[in-house]
Amino acid sequence: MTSLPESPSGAVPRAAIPSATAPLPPPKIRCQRLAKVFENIGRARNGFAALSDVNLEVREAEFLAVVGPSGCGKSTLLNIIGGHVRPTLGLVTVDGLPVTGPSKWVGMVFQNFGLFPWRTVAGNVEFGPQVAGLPAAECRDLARRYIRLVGLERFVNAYPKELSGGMKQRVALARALANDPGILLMDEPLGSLDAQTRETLQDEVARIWADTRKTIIFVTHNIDEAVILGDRVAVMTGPPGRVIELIEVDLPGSREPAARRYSPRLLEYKSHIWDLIRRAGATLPGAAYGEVVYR
Amino acid sequence: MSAPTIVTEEALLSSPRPNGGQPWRPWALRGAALVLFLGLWQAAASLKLVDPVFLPAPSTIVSSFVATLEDGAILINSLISLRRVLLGFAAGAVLGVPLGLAMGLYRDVENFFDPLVELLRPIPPLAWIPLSIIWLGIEESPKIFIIFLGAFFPILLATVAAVRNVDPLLIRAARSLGAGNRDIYLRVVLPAAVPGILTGLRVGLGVAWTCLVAAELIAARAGLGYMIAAARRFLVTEVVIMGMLVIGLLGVLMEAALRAIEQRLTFWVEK
Repeated sequence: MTSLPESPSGAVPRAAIPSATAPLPPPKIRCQRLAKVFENIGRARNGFAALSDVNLEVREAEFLAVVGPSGCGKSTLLNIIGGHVRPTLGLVTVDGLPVTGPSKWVGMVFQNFGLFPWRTVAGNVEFGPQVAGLPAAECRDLARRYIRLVGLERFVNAYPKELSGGMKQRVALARALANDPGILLMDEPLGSLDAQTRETLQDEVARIWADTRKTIIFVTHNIDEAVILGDRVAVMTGPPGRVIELIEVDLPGSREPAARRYSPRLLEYKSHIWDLIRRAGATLPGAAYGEVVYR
Repeated sequence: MSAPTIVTEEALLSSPRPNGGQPWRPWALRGAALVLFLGLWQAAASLKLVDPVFLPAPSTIVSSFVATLEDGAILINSLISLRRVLLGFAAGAVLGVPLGLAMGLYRDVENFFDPLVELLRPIPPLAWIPLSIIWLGIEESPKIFIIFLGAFFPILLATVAAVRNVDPLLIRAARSLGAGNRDIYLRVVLPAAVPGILTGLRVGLGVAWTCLVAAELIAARAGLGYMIAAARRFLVTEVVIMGMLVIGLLGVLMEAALRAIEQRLTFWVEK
């Protein structure tokens, strides 16, 4: 923590106003020609191209899953949308306004939770409302409400070190939701959890999405998870990261993960995505250096 | 040829007890070492193997302790020494923690102070004694100054490191929750740095206490260091040793007190 980046005023959302000429509402999030080059990383003298020409539109209340092998730039993309990383080129707009920095309107959930260990569960969830300057009673009520939403009423006064990984991620989710952001960015949120907890949390995330109608971008390297959760799946490869295909997930029957998990068509999507990644992997610069790109 | 050991299910299920079910064992060993040491010492003194001027018997030391306890000398000297150490340590903390926070947070502040710190830090506090006498005379202030110097640098460096080591993920999480710079400093960096700062304070107090005797050699008229030095002049060896032991004991107690405070403030740290 050497130099704190400036805290620019984040993009302030405003209600999407459907224009008279366009029948479709404008996208909630729009990424235009995003590119990111990291300078001075490792031995790469000329910089490391993490993203190259990413174009993406996410609709209001959509659940977009982003899937791709490790190191393909998924997290970089998410960090740019969240305002934590500045793109080298290109533009991200939220509700039509350019993103200039992190803001409370775009919530984030991280793989390693990022809970404040010195605060209780309630204290963590209250953080957002507190820095927003809400009165203490209101902060408490909000915290209680979102803790109930993720089913942790019994652990309101517990400290993070007393919680399991799955419970910690529930707290992180409640904390992000307590700000009532229009957008939730989730960076491999279930990546460090065991298989059973992971499925339970998938159900939970889907339920919360259905209840709250947030626009969610959910980054994962697990293809099953992407197809089970997403309205659409953006398949990425890299470096440099690109979106090679956007797949509309159309599984018959319920939108619920529990039903999707056992749908025979899940396998079709899965093998298609596998093919895409494998085929792209053969032409990736990384593959030439013998890097492992999704075995 | 030995028969194969049969591991029963019971043996596997019963959790192994620490110290083989003898919780008193470590304490017995610790006590035994002390008793053995003191016994040999007492025996050597009683058998007049060594001149009591070089090594008085433990019993002599205890009786000199009781005597100084009765006339109040040990209490007064201890309080005077404690006062000096606490004042010097407090000055070190009051200057070291805020400066460390500023250096940890702002690159410019760090670059400004770093050469000075790097230059002064390796100078042992004792090397400051002549200068502190020239500057501050021979009253209380040079003694407190020496102790301050001992405490200041460990506290400063630990605070800088504590701020540096704050998990960047916590800062990103806070930003995404709408925190501005002020919130980040006060609600994230400061609490996250508390464990590291407390460790620095504990080390600083230890060094301050170590500087005590040296500081009290500066024309002191009271204090534990003075008591030792004066007793040396009259070859009252038992008072010299007794004073040393009291310094050690008080050091242990202060360390324990600070450790207790540390535990209360950092109970949330994930091991």
